[in-house]
Amino acid sequence: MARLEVDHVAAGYVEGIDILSDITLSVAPGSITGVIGPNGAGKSTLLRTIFGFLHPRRGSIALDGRPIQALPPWEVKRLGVSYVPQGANIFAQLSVEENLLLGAWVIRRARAQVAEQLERAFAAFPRLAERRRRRATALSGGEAKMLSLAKELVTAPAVLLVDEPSAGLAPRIVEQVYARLRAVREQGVTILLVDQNINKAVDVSDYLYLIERGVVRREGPRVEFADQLRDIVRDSLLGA
Amino acid sequence: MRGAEAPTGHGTAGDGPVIETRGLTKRFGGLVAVDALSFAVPAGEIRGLIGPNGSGKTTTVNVLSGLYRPDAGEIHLCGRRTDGLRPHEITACGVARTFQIPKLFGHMTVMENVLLPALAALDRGVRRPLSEVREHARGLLEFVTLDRMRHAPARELSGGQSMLVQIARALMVDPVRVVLMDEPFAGVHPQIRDVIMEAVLRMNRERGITFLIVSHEMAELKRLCQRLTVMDEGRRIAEGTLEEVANDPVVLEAYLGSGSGRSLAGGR
Repeated sequence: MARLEVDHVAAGYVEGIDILSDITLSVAPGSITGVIGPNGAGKSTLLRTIFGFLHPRRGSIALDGRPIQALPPWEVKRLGVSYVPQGANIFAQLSVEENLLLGAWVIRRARAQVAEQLERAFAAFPRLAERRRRRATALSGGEAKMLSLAKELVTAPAVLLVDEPSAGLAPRIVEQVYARLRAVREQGVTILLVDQNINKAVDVSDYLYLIERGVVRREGPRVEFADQLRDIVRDSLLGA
Repeated sequence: MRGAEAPTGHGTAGDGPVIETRGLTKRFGGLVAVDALSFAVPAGEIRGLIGPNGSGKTTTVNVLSGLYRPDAGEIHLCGRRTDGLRPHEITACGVARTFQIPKLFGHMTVMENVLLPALAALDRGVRRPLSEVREHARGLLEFVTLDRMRHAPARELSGGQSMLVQIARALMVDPVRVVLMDEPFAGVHPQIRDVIMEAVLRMNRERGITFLIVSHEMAELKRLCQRLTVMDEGRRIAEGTLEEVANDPVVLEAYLGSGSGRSLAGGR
């Protein structure tokens, strides 16, 4: 069974305008599944809909077979889905450690577990350990991105939704972010990644979907995409 | 509409470019958003400006319209050197623009928003009878299908309707020879997209207005534009028909994203 199943989902923000018209995709356990597509295709909206910020107008979303499309974000998070939005989603005035504690909010009563997860986060992100008591305002752009990733990992999610992890970051940091995503997958976390950086997405993903104007145009394993990247971009430019 | 005078002759071929940049550069700290950009758009053309996210398209429009001052290079609009001029001075040269996120005065009515360029013209000493000005604005509102909404506060409009008001307001600039549009179709209802396309085509055909349109919407650009200019990392990497640029290996590489990030100074 797929870990995450999106079945004929339509969703949008304003009445009468569907940003997602008909999206069907499935994310295999332990995989990195990439979603690529031009600006405005609906990539970010897809993640927001899965996470419960938006609810589908049609269709269903299932996590390990259990429908989640009517749940609010905190319920989705409790079921083991974390969401890393674009940019640095952190509390700038709080310390690095406080940010991680807030990431662990839904498991806050399990104190031993929280402590253990924090230590794991600091082991995985040594730069954050060095800056544990510093305010997040003191972090560089790359460190802030790592903190927003670490903050979503402290609940030990089964699924990580990641939106444009490389946006606005220096090349060296971009490499570190994708390396980190690979390491997270090695620990058994399933990742659904949306990305404008097609080369990077294809590089890191096991399976890919191309979406345009709210529908899936193409899907397949990495090798099939890797051979056809130029055709994909050309078709999308030509509006074919 | 009232403004449907015979072509003014602005847009006839042979006039040379009405938009031209030479070595245009704009930096934000270490980020070179526009990097020695040179391009030209002949009078009467509808030109698309495309490129991957972060390639400098919006910054280019912001520099052309005087919102940002360039760090280097030259801008010539409608035959005048305009780099260094303030936005209202550039508008007075006949260059209007629209914004991706519509910038309207929410507490003013739709009609009042469209009348603003006439008010600015009055400030420059251009006097026209008020009745004529109002009639012109009404005509433009009818043209963009919003006449019925003219007394509504602008804040009550949808995003797409606000885009239409911006277009009517841009066309209210008198005389208007160039309209710069930043993502006019983003998040806009398909019906309104059609109204926008029709407005652009008709204003181009009937009044010879030159358009520079930043957009990711290839289907719309395909219908509107004769040629496309493609930017990546602040530079012009290609120019030509849609077919030409879509088959250009350099363009394809840019859209694939090299993973090299954006043009950080010294980072390449």
